[in-house]
Amino acid sequence: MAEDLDDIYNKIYRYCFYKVRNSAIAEDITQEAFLKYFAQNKILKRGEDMAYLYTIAKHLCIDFFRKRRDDALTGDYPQEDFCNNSDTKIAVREALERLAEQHKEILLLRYLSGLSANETAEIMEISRFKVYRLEKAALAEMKKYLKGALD
Amino acid sequence: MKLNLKSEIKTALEPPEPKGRASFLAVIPYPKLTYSKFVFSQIGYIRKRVWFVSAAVVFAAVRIVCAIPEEAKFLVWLIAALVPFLAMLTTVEISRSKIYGMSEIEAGCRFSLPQVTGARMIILGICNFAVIITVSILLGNHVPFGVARSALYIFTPYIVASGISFMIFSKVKGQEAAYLSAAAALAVSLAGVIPIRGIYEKPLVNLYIIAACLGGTLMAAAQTKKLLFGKDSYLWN
Repeated sequence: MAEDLDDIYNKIYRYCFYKVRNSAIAEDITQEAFLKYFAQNKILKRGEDMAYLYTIAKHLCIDFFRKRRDDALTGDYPQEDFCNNSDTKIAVREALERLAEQHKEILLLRYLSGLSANETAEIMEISRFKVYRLEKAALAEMKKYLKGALD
Repeated sequence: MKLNLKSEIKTALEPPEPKGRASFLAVIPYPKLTYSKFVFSQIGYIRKRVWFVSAAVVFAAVRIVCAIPEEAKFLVWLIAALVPFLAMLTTVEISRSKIYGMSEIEAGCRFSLPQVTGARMIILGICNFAVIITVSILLGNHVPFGVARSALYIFTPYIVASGISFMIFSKVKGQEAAYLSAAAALAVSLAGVIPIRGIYEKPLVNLYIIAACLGGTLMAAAQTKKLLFGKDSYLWN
């Protein structure tokens, strides 16, 4: 189904923000991802198209970090914080940070961006069953970390 | 502490509001067809025969009432026998892409099957409703049982035929569904015609008609929900 462009923009922005932790840079990457996508495509639907857009955004985030590493002397980007800062939120963020990269990515795509298992599988280039398996493992790991932090 | 982890992850990672979204989306080269424009664009894709039958029903009612107003009661009966065919045409039109296997072609467009179906349902529903209301008002002023009952007598076969047709289209694939739908429309039409002309004077008949109307409405609503939000609606995605 053709999704509202605002929603897609927000999802990509959220994803990029979590990666780069700076709203201005996240927005730049989001917009660049959109421009790159629309340079090759005319319409944007759920499914493969969304997966393609996420892949562009992911690669742009990787490029951003690569460029920052190469440009270490001038690459002084201020880190911003998320909107919510209650104890639980902080604990959830810290627990998420401790997860393996793949687990983190799964939870980000599934819960932060609200993507389906199929879409997540396409973006991560893994099978749908592996998405479920990883998601279950990631949640279990998160619960374990949170139990220690919140008890 | 019991946490709803899924929603906690979402709220914990909520970023600051993006500042340049509106200005960026305003200039991005994207086909900005609004939903209302899309609905209107669907009018052109509805076949002329549907508009012709709708117009014919109204025209027949106007002509006969003007010529022989004392026969209006008979006309209610006649129109009630005709509307199932209007319902059949409407259902066939709504389910056209299913009959001709057009999903692959239409998948290239920006809007999905449920959106296209929904738009056609809105257009044809409004049109048919207008036809039924117009004819009912027209005839209701010339019959002893009034506008409301005329509307009920005309609407009931329409909604029953619609419900049955939608059900056929959800169960049967391809061209056969259109034939079965036509048969169902004929059966509903005959069910109203075969009894006698004085059917509306019988007291219990009204109860049966109200029950059929409610049953038909429920069936049509359930099938519409299935068509727009059910498993079939994800065919293109």
